[in-house]
Amino acid sequence: MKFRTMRYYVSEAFQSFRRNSFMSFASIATVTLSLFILGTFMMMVANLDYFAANLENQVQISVYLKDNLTTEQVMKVGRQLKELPEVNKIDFVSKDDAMGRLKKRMQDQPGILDALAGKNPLPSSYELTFTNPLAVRKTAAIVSEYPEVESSHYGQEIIDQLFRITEVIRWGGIALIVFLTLATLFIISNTIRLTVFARRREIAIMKYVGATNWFIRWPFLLEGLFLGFIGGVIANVFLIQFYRFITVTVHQSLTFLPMVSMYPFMYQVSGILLGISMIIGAIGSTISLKRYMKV
Amino acid sequence: MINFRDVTKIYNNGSTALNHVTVHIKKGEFVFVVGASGAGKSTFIKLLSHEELPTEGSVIVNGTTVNTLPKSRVPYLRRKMGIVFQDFRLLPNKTAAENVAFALEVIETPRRVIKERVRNVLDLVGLIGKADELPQNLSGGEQQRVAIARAIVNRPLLLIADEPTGNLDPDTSKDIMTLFSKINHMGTTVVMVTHDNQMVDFMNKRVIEMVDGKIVRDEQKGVYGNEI
Repeated sequence: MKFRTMRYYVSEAFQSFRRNSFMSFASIATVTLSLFILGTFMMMVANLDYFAANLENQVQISVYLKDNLTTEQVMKVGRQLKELPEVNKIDFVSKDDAMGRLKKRMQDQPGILDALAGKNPLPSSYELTFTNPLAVRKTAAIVSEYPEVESSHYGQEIIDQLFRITEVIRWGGIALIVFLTLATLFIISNTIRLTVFARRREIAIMKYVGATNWFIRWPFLLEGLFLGFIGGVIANVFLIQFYRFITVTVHQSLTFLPMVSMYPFMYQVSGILLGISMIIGAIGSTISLKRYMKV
Repeated sequence: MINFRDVTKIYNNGSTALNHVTVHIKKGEFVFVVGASGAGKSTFIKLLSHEELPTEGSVIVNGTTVNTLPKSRVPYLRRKMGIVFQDFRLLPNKTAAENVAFALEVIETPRRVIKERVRNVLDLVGLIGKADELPQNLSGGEQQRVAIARAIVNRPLLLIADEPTGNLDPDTSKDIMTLFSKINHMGTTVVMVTHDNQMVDFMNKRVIEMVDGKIVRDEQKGVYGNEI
């Protein structure tokens, strides 16, 4: 592509931007608003995921063994557990260890343990942690089937609930993203349509004298890209300030709540949003051009 | 130059614009296409420029089979033809010279070439003195001259004119016809659709007459016809 041609595209794009300044600003405002909402949702989903992952990483399975197993059998179970995929660490807790823990927990009410009359009803167990928290449920089911195993436990309800919540938010987010994207697409393509309409005569003449479709398309495409880009940049500026404010506030008042740290997370979010906005701009302009290209 | 082989055009609404038309136009000819409104004249032109595609048959222009041409090649086909319309179709915010230059700019002609060609072609159509006037300051005849200049500035092999004198008075029409004749003498094939019987009789060129999508008459040195 020649330099002169490129300059022509850019200057045409800016000219029409200025000519329809009101609609241009309206589309930039729409892009900004949509992307801001989109970005807020992305931040929310990311943080929930982060929170869930944090919890899940702390999840461990307790595998309670049957009584009366030989040492050999106990060690065999230990070896089997070690072989399972995604298992990170495995600790053996003997009957005595378990009793020791219980005693420690109950040291304020020593009378209760007296009722056991020296007997130890607690089973020995293995405690497993995982490299991938999603493996928890599956592994728990597998392990329960071992003949030497009495039962296996993890914080089933809490984990399941957490998974369900993140899932709902994620799908809600996707639905919202689709909706906002379509709305933005509609607004941008309407703005470009004004430009295209104002210049339909030029377009027709260009077609008749043999300009290529891409030659005609480029200025409008650039205009769309530009509208999307500006909207994206403004939205990102607001989002970054917003997220900074939120993280600072949370750190001060809700110290226990883990949050995704600002960088590189916000770079990723801004990058994605900017990409989306420009793609929308380009598609929007192509849609409005279609009708007038058919000569 | 132009070859219509058994061409039929039926529009989506079911109307038949061309009905098994076969016609041959040689390089360097000057041809009038005449007939009543709706006889298929405009469709004839639109098939040449790939604005419409035939339902049946083939259209060959300068060795290129237009109806099978891929979309991406259409612009290059059009660079070999100039088209002039009844309503001039000039850009109102550009001067005469800029309107002509526009046709070259959008096909990425080098700037130096543009300047020279625009001057030459404005000279040819007799408007060199009005190069910097906006269309609104030009008479109808002058505007059509600008449009003709724009159509031929790329030195096309074929010049297509759709009722070019439809909006002009008889004297101006005569001048425009003379200009077309001059361009034709320089080697460009001219195909002109018209209602203007006076002009057809005045020019004494080949006349193709269409009725209901069929060619009913094709004579060298013809006249417009008496029955209309």
